[in-house]
Amino acid sequence: MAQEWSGQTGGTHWMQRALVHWVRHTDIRIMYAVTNLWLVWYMLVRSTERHGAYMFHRRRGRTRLQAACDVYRSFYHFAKAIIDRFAVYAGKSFEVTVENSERYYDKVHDPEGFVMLFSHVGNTEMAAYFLATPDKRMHILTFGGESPEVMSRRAEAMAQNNIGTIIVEPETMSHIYRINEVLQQGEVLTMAADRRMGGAETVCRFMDAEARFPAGPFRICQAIKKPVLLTFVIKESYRSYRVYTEELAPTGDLAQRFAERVEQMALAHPYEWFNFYDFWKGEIKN
Amino acid sequence: MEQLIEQLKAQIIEALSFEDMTPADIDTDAPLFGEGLGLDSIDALELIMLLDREYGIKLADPKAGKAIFASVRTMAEYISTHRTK
Repeated sequence: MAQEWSGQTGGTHWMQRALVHWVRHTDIRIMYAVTNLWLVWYMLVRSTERHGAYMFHRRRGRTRLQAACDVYRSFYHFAKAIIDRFAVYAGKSFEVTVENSERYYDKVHDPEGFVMLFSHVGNTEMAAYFLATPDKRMHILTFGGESPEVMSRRAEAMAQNNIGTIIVEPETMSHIYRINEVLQQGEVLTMAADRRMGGAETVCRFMDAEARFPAGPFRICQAIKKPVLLTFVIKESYRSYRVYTEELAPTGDLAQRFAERVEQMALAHPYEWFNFYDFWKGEIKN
Repeated sequence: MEQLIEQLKAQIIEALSFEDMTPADIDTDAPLFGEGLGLDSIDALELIMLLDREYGIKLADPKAGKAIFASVRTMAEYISTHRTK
């Protein structure tokens, strides 16, 4: 069973191109309905993701049968998240409500830079499109590794929204220089803090067990000493999203506090949990 | 130069929270990354910020940074010729 995220959106290059074309010319509700047929095949062939989702639902107290049904719902929500992402690439828009928007926009208008941490509860990538403003450039820290189609579409959508990327380069450490530069310039650094990609880990208490989180994002927050916002993007209806932001103090127990908030949101929105791999150190016994 | 090296070692220990270490434990010519002190990329971020905060040096070029952060001595040599405070 995979213990890290593979770092790539599923589907072949041709499928991803076709998806952008279809989503541009089709009501996304039809796309969602068609996805139901494809999901049966996806569930059969994607044993790693299937097991990862199943483990999550078992950990939140569901029976085996309930968890098996929940896996289907999780995949359906995940498929909708991907369709929505491609809808943004195709130029479509969604209704967005930002909770505590005044606090968020106060941060945007403050000359000081800040860090936004994301989890994979909800549609993470959409957060950047929803929260980007012309006033403050946003930079997404990413490992790259996506298909050329996704990278190209993403770059196009980002360029239109004052968003840049910083790709992690372990050999040259060039990303570290860029992180320092953009934050000193008063811009925004965004990064996911719940997917391990091979670097150092930190163990947190998460859903009544020890789970491994990447150590890097939390160490960056503690080193850079800038304000840290935790952000969730939750789908409410086929056309609308709600964005939640809250400030976290960048102190020593940041990873555990992040894990606790992610747990609360994952339990409140269980089908929006998209970390479909072995997140925990051990297996549940019953 | 020797005074600057000792001061820099103390600043590195403080910035990286090496609580059980003293300046005498750091080899002036040992590599900072990999073998030697064994620092990683996020420690590099701390060092970049240290140079800015303490010496007014802003580093933005990873290639230059690799040479500057080769050892405490190379750092001190760079600081002595480029410091603005």
